[in-house]
Amino acid sequence: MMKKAHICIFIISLFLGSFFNGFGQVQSSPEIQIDSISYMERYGVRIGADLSKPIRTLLDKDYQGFEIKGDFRITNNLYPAVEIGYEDFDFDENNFDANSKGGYAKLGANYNVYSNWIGMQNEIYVGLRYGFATYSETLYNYTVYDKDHYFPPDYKEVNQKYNNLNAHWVEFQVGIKAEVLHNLYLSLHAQVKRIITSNEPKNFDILWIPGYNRNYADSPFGIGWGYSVSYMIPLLKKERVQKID
Amino acid sequence: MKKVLFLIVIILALASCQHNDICTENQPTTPKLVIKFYNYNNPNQLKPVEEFNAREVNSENYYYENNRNDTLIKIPLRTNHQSTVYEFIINKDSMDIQQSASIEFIYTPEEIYINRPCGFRAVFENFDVQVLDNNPDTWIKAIEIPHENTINDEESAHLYIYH
Repeated sequence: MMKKAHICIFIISLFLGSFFNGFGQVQSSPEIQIDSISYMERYGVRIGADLSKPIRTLLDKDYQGFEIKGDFRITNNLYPAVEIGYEDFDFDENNFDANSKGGYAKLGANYNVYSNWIGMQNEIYVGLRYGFATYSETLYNYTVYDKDHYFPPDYKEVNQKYNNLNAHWVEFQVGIKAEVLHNLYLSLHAQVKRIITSNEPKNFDILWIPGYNRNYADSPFGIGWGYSVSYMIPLLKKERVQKID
Repeated sequence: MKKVLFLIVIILALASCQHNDICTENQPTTPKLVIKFYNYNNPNQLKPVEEFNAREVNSENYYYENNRNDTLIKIPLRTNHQSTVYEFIINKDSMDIQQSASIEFIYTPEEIYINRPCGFRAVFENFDVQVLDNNPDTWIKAIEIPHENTINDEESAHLYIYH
């Protein structure tokens, strides 16, 4: 912020300075001195996909998922953003096996806190999202929990399905974005989130939510991350001026 | 840049260590059947069973490794059946006075979700008991279900046996 303020003051003083100079030194010969440069910054729609989810789909036989995402730069540092995805995950717990699958969407914005060198458009950003998922869970089988072992374990194959589940959460993101090729970005970010409301399956549990990940019984917070590639379609350019030392 | 990477790594590390996948001892489990033994001739008085042991009928294995001398016992019920038939033996190691009785516990098992690490436990609804022996000399003289006929926990006795 200091840097921006300096730039601003510099531009104003430059303008005013030359104005007053113009009055005061009418006779002096103009001397051109380069003390700032300008650059046309690109504004546009950025469209991308998460890479970690298809990679995990290939490596983890219990997981299938994808996520597409987009953002749009509206001011110098503010980027409204959206993510839409689908995930299908089988998980083995100590006493039961289950599945969770469904779609999700996240709406919000990222705010860039990084001051770039002129000509560069990288980001360190913080983001806030409202996320929601509609999904179903399936309980494949379970073994009745019994501390006593006189009788053999009671294993049951049930394939019980719990439909029409939904969850709503707020998500905080922090990440970095680097322009690796012209208009092509790679980014890595981490997520911390908290459920606002959700409906619970009868006589079962919210174990894993698409887009939210694991739901911890002893904590209202969830955690996630993403690694994505995106391409910016430039729509307009705005001039940015920066002084040079 | 380094600080942000550090923050991301911290969050990811938190994600991997926040697993609480242990079913702790204090979680409710599938309850055992709790039986109290009373004196048939003086129904308000507890009367211990001597050299008591139990096994499921047709099973080789006794439930207790060592015979019990007690006024209260806890035995498991089958969760995958609507009933469990036990053979209750007293004075097990005293051949001439040994006595046995077959007793059937009838119920509707119902599974209740506990949590992620423990999974499901069973409780028993519509609990009922039948002494199967026609033998008039059976050591079990009378039985009583003192409370409601649901077995949820092991806090109090589900069955009184008078002998």
